[in-house]
Amino acid sequence: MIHETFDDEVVIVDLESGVYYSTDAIAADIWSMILAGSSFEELVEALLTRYTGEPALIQSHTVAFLDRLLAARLIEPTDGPSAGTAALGESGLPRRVFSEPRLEPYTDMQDLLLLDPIHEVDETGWPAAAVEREPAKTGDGT
Amino acid sequence: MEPAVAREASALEYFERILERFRCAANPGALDREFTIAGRSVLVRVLGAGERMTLALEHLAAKAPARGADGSGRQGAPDLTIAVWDAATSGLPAAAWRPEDLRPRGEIRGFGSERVRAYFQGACALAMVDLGQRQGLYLARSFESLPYYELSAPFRSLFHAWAETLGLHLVHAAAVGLRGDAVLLAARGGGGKSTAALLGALAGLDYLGDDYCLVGCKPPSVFSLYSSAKVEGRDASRFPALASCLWNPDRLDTEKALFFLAQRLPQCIRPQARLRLILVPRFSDADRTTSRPASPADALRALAPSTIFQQPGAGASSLHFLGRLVRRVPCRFLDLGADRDSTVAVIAELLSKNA
Repeated sequence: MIHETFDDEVVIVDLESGVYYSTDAIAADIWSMILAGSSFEELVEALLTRYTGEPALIQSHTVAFLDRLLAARLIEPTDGPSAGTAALGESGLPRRVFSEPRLEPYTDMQDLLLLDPIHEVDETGWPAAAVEREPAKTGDGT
Repeated sequence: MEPAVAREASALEYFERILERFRCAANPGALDREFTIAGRSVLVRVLGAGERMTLALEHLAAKAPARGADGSGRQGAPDLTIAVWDAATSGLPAAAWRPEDLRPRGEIRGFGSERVRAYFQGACALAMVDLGQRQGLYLARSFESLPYYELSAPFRSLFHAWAETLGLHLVHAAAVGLRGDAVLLAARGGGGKSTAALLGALAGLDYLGDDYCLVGCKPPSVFSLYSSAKVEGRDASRFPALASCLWNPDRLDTEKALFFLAQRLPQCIRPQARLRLILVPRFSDADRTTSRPASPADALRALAPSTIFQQPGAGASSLHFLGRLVRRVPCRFLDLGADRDSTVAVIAELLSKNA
C-alpha cells in the first residue's frame, strides 16, 4: 500500500488488490494522524479541536472511518505506544465544520493486476503462453 | 532467506549467463541501431528476425549511421545497450526461478535489486537489466509471435528501470505539443488520450506519444519514447491518412489498430518538450470539448494507478515522483465533446496560453 498526501486529499494505491482510493480533507486529516502514530483518543481529541460538531457524532464517524480503513486492509491495529498528541490545527485558526470522512474506492484498474500472478509455467519455467494478454486493456471509448 | 547481496549476485550471474548466449550468437554480427532518448544514447543490438522491434523507436534514430557489431567509432559508451534476440537464435535458458516466484506485473522474486532487475513481458519475453553496466537484454520466445502491443512499446520495463537512474519516470500518458511546449493526456486505457493525440498530430500539433512517455520534474519535461499509436480496431477507418502506416490491417477484429508514425508524420514527431499542462480527459455529453481546472490529486488519480499497476517495479517512489510532478505542473480536466476538432482546438489554445 502506497500513498501520497495533498493538503485536502490523500491518494492511496493498493498494489495487492489493484484498488486505489481518494479521500476528502477530513479523512486526509485522520490519515495524517494515523501516520503520525496517534492513538484513537488523541485522534478524536485533535478532531474536536480542529472541527466543530457534535462530539459523539465526530467520534462515531471516526470509528466508522477507521473500520472502513481496516476492512480495506489499509491500516492495521497496533498495541504499540502512542506517538503522542499531534494537533491538526494551530490555535487561532477558524475551525471547520465536521462531516462524515469520505473514502472513495476505484476498482477500474483491477484488471491490470487480477489477471496476474502468472502461475502456469511450461517445461522451461517460463510463463505459459496461454496467459498472454494486453496490458491496460481498454474499456469504452477511444 | 538468502541475503539480499547474495540474491543480487545470483541474479547478476544469471544475467551474464543469458547475455553470453547473445554474445556467442552475435558472431558474425548483430544489427546495431542507435537511438537518442531523453538526450542519451541507447544502442539496440538485434539478432535474428527482430527488425520489427525498433519500429516504434525510429523517430529517435541517431543522426550518425548504424554501427557494426563491434560498436567501433563511438565516442564513449552508450548510456544504455539492449541486446535483443529470440529463442530461435539461442533457445530459452533454464529458469532461475520457481513457479511461485512469478509475481504480478511480470515481476520475478529475487530479481528486483537496485542493480539487477528482471521482468516477464507477459509470457512472450524476458527483459533483464544490469543498471551497473547499463546493459539490458530482451529475449523473446519468438519474434514472429510477439503480440502487437509489444511492438508498439518495446523494452518498456527496461526503459522504466533506466529512466529512474536519470531522475525520469515512464508514465502511461499521451503527449502532444506546440512550439516546444507539451501537455500530458493522463487517462487509463480507453480514456480518449490516444485518439486525442492522433487527431492532434494530424491537425499539426507536435506528437510525442500516445501511450507512454518519459517525464522529468526539474524542469518539467516530457520525452518521447515511441512513435507508435493504437486505437480500437473499429476506429482505424477514422484515420485514412494513416492507412499506409497501419501495421495490422488484417487483424483489426482481434487487435487494436497499430500505426507506426515515424515515416508518415516525421514533421510533427518531437523528441522532447517542456511540460506545461497535465490534462485529464473525461468523456462528456457535450458537443464541444471544454476544459476546467483540476486539482493535483485529480491528476494523480488519472496518472498514477495505470502507470504503477502495469509497470513492474513501480511503487512508492513512483507515486511520490508523480506526486511531485502534479504539484509542479498545472492540471486541468479535458471534457471531451462529440466534436473531435474542438478537442484539438482546445489543446492548442491551452498550449498557447500556458507557453
